[in-house]
Amino acid sequence: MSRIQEAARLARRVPGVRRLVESGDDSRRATRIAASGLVDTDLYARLLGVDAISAYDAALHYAQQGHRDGLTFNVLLDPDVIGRAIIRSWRPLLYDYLNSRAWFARTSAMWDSAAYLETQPESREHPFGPAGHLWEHVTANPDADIDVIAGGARTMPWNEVYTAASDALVAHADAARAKALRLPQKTIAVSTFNPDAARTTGPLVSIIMPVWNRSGAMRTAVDSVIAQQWQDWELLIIDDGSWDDTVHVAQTLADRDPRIVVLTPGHQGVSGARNSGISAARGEYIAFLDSDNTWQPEFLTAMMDALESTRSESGFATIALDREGSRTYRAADADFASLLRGNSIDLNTFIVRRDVLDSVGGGFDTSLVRAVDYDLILKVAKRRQPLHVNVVGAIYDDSDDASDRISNSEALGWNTVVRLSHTPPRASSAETGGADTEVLWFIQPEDAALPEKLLRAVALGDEHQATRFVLMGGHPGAHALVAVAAVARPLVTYDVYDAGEPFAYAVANTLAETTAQRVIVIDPRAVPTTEAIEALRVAVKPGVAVMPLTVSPDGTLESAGAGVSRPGAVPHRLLAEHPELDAPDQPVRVPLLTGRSFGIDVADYRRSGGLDALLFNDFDTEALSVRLAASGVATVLEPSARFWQSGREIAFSRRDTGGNEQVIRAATQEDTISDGAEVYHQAGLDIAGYSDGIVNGQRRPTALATHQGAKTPNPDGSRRRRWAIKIAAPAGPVGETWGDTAFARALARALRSLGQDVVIDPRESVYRRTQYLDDIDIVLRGLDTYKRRTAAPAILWVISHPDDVTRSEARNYDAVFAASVSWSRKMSERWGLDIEPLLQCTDPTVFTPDGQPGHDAPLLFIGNSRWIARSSVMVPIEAGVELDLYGGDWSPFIDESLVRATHIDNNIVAPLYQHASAVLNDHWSDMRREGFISNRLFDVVAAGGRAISDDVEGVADIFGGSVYTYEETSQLRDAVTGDVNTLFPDSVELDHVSERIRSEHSFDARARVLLDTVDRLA
Amino acid sequence: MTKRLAIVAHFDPRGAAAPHFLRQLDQLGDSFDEVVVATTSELTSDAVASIEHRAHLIQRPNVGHDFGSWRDVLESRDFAQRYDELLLTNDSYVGFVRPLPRIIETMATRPYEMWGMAISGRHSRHVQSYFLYFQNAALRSKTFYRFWSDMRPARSRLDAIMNQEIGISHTLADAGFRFGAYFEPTRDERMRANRRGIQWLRRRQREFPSRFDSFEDAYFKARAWRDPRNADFLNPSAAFADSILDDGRFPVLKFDTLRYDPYFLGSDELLTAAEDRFPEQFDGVRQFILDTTDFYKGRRDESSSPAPLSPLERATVGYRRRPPHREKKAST
Repeated sequence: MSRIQEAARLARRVPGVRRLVESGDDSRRATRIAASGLVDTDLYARLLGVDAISAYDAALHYAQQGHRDGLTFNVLLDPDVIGRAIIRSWRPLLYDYLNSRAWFARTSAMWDSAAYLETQPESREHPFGPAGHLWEHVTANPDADIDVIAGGARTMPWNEVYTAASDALVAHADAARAKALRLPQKTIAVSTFNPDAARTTGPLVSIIMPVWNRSGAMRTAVDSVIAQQWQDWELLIIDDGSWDDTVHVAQTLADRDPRIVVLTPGHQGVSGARNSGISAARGEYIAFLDSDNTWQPEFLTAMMDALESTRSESGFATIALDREGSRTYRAADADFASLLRGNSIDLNTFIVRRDVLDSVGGGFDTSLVRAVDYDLILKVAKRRQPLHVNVVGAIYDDSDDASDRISNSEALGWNTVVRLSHTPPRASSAETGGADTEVLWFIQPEDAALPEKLLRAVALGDEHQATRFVLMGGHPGAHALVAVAAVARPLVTYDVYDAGEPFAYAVANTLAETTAQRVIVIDPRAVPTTEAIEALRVAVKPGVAVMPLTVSPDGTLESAGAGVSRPGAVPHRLLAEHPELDAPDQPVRVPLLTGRSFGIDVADYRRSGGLDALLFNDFDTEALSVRLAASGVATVLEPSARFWQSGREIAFSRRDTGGNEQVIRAATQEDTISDGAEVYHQAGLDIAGYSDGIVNGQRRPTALATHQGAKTPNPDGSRRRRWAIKIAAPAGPVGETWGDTAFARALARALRSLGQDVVIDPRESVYRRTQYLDDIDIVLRGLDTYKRRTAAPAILWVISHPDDVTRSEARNYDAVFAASVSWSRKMSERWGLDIEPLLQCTDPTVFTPDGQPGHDAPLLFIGNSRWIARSSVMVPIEAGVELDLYGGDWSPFIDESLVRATHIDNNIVAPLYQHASAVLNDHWSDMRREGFISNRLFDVVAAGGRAISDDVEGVADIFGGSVYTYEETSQLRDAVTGDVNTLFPDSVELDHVSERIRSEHSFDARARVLLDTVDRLA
Repeated sequence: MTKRLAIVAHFDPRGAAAPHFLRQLDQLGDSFDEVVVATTSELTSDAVASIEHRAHLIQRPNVGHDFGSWRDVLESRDFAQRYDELLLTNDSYVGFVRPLPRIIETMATRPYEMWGMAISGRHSRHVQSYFLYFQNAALRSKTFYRFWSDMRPARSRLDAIMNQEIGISHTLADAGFRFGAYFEPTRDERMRANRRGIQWLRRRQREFPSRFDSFEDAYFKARAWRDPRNADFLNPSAAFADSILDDGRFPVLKFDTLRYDPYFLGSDELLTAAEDRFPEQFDGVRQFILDTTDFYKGRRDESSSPAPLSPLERATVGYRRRPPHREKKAST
């Protein structure tokens, strides 16, 4: 570090000086960033929406503001990706990255900077790292090819990568700017309007004020009209059938001021009331003021001044919002396009010429229950852009913004309905390349699985199906990633929507223009395999809409369709929180689809009317199903399409609870929709009743299942019971790599072969809601204790970590087994409990000799390092003995090249065991001490293999000569360096032991013991 | 022809009809088609005779304060729905020192549906309830009808203040009616009231140090003494009482002000000045106060009798003895 830097660092510690030093931080950082040469001024100017910018100015903007807004100054540097790799500070992220030379960090999801460091080692020495090196190269040779990883590794011309990525970043920045403008601003431009100089008379303005039982607020509103500087107005107060003093007060005011007129057309809703007012209005201009709002005194003068002088058709004023002492302004200009994305004009400060109003229908659409003002404003804005008059027309107290207005009790989805009705057909970006199926893959912000989804989409693309990614907001880097993945891949396209747009809007927009015959819509939370998507695709036919079986992150079913308990009820999800055991194994008709993943024939979709835009992120597919049924389309659950629902809901998480319920209750009222009991019947269950549950934070009816009568006994007369095996492994893909999962599956298979039903509960669902259906609990004790919550008999089987088990835990069980003879004996005595030994075991259907001669391959070790230099691996490697090593986390200890693979499929392990000259094995120290023999030894010997293991009590008794044991590492060294064959008996003896292990120590044998125990307990 | 009803709640611990009360009934009788007196006292036959000579008399048990009396009479008269205007008042003041018809006429030109003599901002803005005048729009409203028909007797003094005295103003305002006061203090009057507020806080702390350990009031803020609006948080019937001397700008004088001198402003001098200025209206008032002093002990930790003032206090904040020449004679 230079002396100057050191001095600056020290100076920062001195109060007062710190401020002085920091005042130069931004410019100093900007200078350094600009000096990197990585500032793409073309890109940055486009991001800011300006014509041009210098490298220094761009860098300065980035250092001051851009980094807060998530901007980047180079497509190769994605702050979101870098931010996950380096330690964050308060300094601008990309400055930190360049300054700290954190070249190890990945810089982008579309380009692999780590791989680049490997292939271009000199880039490590580049002053600005791999990105600086590549940027230098491509700016000199724009036609150069580069390796990208978006949607799979491929080589692409830089020009194409750059164009796609930068266009996506710019589109994102444009949308973000437009959205920010629609939100309240902290400051507004100073208005040049001078109320004292303006006229106060001129054309007549008719003010339309509908009112319903709000006499108090109305008086205040009227007072604000009377206080207007503009004199030529008439106020039409239209009473919508009030039963309070509204008319009385209004009439009192009308008696005092002849400009006030009271109309009492009766109750007809706010739109009808306003229309009555418009009919009676005599003014050249029409203004709207709701009874719970007030105008500033200069509002009309300012508006009339501006409208008249610009000859505008319509206009609106700025609105101030006061909240807890701070004031913001709604002050965005608005045109038709911006209004379609979201309404930024408040009807209360909107004035339109009467003739213009007449030309767009003359008033409000009374068929709309809500968003009527939005609808009218869109109609007017479609003709000509409304003039924004930057004078504060009204001040809102934002803290009670959502008061009990007439409109607020209706569904939020009316906004969607209005927007869709005004949305012009888009130029078809939906070229499906002739594919007959389009997969609409919704992507939510922070989707860690996006690169994986892109790979799958590319893999799916063939003549049958195209994938369209629908990005619901999210980070700009993610958009660039998708854009690059889509380059030159006609079957991969993408659309972008603002975050927060409802599901129905995005789906309806997309399906309006697709050219495919069928579509598969995929929930942003789902991470389905290509096989699952394919299964869904095949199942969709004209007249048949399908949904996948969705599985929650905890491993239980999220849903297998939905049903309705009675007409007008809120739908309940079928088999929600049930184990997968209860899922149908064949396609089954379900009363209603549910969730956000479904497949449908496009013609069926359009004929039925599609998604109900009134729904705001709930019950979308349920309501669609009702419409489908009405047009004769069947709704089917396809269980072979199993969608893993990972992660939390980010997109579509905002709901309009009351409005949605109102809509879905109306939908389920119309038809006799089944309760879905038939889906329960196939699992031998019935719906006994309903309770309140919580789904996505919403109260929902939840079906309570019971077993259907007494179960038929097995052919041998034994009772058929439902077993729940509780394990410590997590659910989902991670759990697949745990030994506990494989062990539980093998045990389950053995129990099933004895005529039992078996559920496996991963750690997240050991306490699942439906555990009351289980007859027996078996807890395979791992790292967690399980506290019994049902009355079912429970068995504890300690197969590892014996030190964690306490007496108080053990005594809570009806039977306790342990995979150690010595520990069982010891603890039975110490605790005064009956603990029986039940050793680990093997699955002979997998681990059995293949009939070929064995022991012809090198030594074998399979296992992760557990972050210890395990002797079983270190000793042979240090001795220079050949070793086949499979497993992960070995890089700190040995050269990675010695590892054959980090993962190996359990199904191909058996022959490796058989053919290895010996399999090396060792135990956790507590397991060894307490006599817990590893299941690997059972597997090796069952497969006809030989093992060398650290000595655990009982090994010799069980495995005879098939397992050679050692006490000291030196013994191990001697064993592996000598002739291994001399350690073991002949093949006849080995075969004999192998056969004995397969019969005596199989899962079937263990299952039989457990079953006998349960019979005894019952 | 506007039909008016006045209902007067009356209480005299001696069971008598005091001279000022009879004069008040005479004045009301000139402006109102019907005057009803609801008394909660055991009246002497003399008193009954002299009241019945001037008004309709209803004797009722002492339940529910003034609002209880008004409510009972209102209920017996269809909640005054056959009248155009209504006055609810009591006998707690001396007045009117200005002709009542002139007051009523003035208020008819202002955009209020309900009015009184003065508005207080204590608790929240409301018309002081010893004089509540309802114009036709308020009287014939559903809100008015519901207020009185739903009313229950107050369970406590605080309940009476919050739900009745303040409640009537609020209920009408919430329904879109506006209320105002005949007496609207000028800026100078407000600034003087602010000084009087300081006097009150200062003297109160001195007299009752165990009760008031600081110079604080929940509504009137001593530190805002330069803000004329601050005066709204004092009781106007005490803080502006001497405006009666300005040709009756404040046309009544409350007995509470005379008896207790709540702000320590020298109410005995005010009474003398009022007797000088309005000898006819104040005839017998001093005697009435003397006769009934034993029945009105005042409240704990508040001034309970006319306060002696130092010359400096008298000169700066005390009630004036006559309208000073430098103060412009305001009239409404």
